[in-house]
Amino acid sequence: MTANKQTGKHKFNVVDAIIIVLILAIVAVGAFIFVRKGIGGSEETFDIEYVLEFRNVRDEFLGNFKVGAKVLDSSKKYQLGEIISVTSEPTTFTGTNTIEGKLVYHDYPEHSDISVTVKAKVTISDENRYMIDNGYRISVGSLVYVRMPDYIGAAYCTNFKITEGK
Amino acid sequence: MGQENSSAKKAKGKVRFNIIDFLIVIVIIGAIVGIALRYGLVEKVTNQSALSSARISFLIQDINEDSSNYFGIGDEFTALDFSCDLGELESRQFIPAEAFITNQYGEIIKTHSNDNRIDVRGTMIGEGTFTEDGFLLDGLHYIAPGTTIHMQSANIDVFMTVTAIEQIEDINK
Repeated sequence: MTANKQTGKHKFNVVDAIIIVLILAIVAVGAFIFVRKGIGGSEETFDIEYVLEFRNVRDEFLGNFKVGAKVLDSSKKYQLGEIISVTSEPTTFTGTNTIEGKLVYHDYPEHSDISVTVKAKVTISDENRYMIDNGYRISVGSLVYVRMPDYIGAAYCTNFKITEGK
Repeated sequence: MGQENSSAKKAKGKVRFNIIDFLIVIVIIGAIVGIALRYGLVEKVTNQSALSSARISFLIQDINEDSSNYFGIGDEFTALDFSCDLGELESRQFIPAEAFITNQYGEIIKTHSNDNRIDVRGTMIGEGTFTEDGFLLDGLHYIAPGTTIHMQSANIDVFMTVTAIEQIEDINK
């Protein structure tokens, strides 16, 4: 032991091996988290337009949906595209005419359904799914938690089309 | 003999820095950076240096009429979801709670509650950062019209919906 100390050589032991394994594991996890977005799937991108429908929104918010606004996913902040058009119509309420025993349809007072058309670029994942911003899967029926500069809310994707690239 | 060995070691005076030590230092630095990013410490420092005053308009729906006694002008509110200051109450208006009912013909009609329920519309003055992506309350937490916030003052605890946010001249508290 004295001889080893005098020569100054470090003996590689089990503790060193454990530390190296731990460090490699941390680096691998970090790489997986930060790099996986770009792994796999097709490199080809397509231009798409999809429609998000916000239902039963108070009319006082009608002016908050603006063409040109950037749309983000509320939870993980994926860039979901840019609004290119906004339309609205009064929310339809389905009531029951109990006298005549039939369904009737009326406008819900002071509430509207707002449809925004968003343009974005998508790639195709390994599972053949359309992915926006390399991580957000979009399809008709998706419930999207949306964040825009002037409004935050939830909307369903009701329409989807590829406009260029395929 | 032990004393001779430690004396020999001290006499050398050199600490050998090897690759294992280097890797450990890298991991520690990475952990510190990761914690700083995860808890937004970098953003907190940069954004909080550029806080502006904002008038936040809100709507509270369907609460007990007696609660109106607990909204005092000047009351300080905090946003419980974000653990930060929300603002100081600037104005409030109490109106009978809106209600939607259906009649026998299936029509939906807007009316107002006559059962001691109220809505509250008001404004409060808060601080945050205005960015092109929206308003960040306290420089950190994104809020916009449509956001529901659980707010609390010394007197009352309610849920409100943000209806508008506008930038105003800085108010020195």
